[in-house]
Amino acid sequence: MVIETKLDTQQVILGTLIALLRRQFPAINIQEQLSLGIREAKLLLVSADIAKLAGQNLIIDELEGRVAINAQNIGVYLQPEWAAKTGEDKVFNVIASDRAWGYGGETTYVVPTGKTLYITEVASISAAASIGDNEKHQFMELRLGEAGGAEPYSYLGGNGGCSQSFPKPLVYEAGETFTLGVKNNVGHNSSMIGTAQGYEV
Amino acid sequence: MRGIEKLKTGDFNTMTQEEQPDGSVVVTLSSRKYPEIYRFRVKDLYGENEEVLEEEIIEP
Repeated sequence: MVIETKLDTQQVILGTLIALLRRQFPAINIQEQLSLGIREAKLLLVSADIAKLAGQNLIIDELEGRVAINAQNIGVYLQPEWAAKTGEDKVFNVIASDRAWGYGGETTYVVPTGKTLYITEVASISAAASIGDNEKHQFMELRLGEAGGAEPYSYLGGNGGCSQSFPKPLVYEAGETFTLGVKNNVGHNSSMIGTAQGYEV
Repeated sequence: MRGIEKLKTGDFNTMTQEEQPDGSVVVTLSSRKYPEIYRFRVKDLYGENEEVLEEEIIEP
């Protein structure tokens, strides 16, 4: 069975679309027969609606012409992008200035009740505190604390800094402690900055 | 809302912490949801004897 309809509203949430179609075509088993083609369209789509979409067995692939959506605002976002768009992104910095070998600093954050923190990437920089040491090695350590603060998730090192992305974000549940630390690993005083980015929902 | 409350409720986008020689920590919070910047110095952050020693709100 072919479904042909046009929706001309400017923004459509897919979950709403499914409900509308079910009302409009109550005799059709949408789960089994509806194929949705989207071409040159813009649709506001959040992750929850992707779940709804999956649950309904809707397929968005090639243009089938069964449902035409015109003049829509469509965007499919990865969760970090969506979090930034809605103001839920987080950046944590730790500054440790003029520290001798073995010393540094740490940022501490306890995830609030009802929220979960996801860390997606970290980076750091280290520079000599005095100009006389500027041409020397600038080894440093960047340390991410495990949820709860018991053990490090990850040690990173580098000469002058380091960076790493986490395709699978590090997760800190409500009440757990996130820590980000830097430490000087050279024989002269250094100033270091560590940064971690992610989102909290 | 004070800075320490914004920290505890997660009401910020960017947080910077810098440990001081006396063991206290200077915390700076900012967000795209409000224009001001909260900066405060706190000792024993998240500890039993947590105390905010200084605080300033920097208006844009």
